[in-house]
Amino acid sequence: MNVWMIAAAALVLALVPCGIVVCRGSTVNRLVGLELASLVFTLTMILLAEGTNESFFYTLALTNALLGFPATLVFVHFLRDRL
Amino acid sequence: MISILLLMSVVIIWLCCAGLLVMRGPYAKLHYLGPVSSLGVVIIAAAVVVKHPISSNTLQAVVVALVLLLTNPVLAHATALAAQTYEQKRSHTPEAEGKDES
Repeated sequence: MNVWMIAAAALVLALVPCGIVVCRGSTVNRLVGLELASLVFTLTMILLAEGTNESFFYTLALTNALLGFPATLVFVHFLRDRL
Repeated sequence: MISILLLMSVVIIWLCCAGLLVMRGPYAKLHYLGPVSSLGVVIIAAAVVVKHPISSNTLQAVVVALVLLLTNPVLAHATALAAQTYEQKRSHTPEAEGKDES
């Protein structure tokens, strides 16, 4: 257990308030909660990569960072045009 | 040094998550994405650079930080625009205006 793993555990706990926002409230509020959860997840992967010295976590972090952008834009598109 | 940087980033992220939970309305909640995607990401990338000054890990962490720094302001703006359009559509529905459709 090193400082990176402790920080990663703390960020995993930070996903709980994001999950509460995603489960409650209006559609747009839930989308904002999902965006923050995606950010926190990406940062958690970076910390896990350094804590475990496994470089594949960096691949996960980069993939989530790159794919989270169009994924969120899809939700935004549906909010604007379809709902 | 690394411990201090990680503690700072964790505190910033925790405060933003708490703000997201407490604030009412999407426009207020959107403000709490900013510190995470700018400060939090940069501080964690800095901690990685301090640990490995020149390595592939550093490059990957910096690339992830750059992607998040560049994309999240665009997402926040798009989300705010979508929220405004969504609210306008809902306020202009017949039920919202109390119109009689019969």
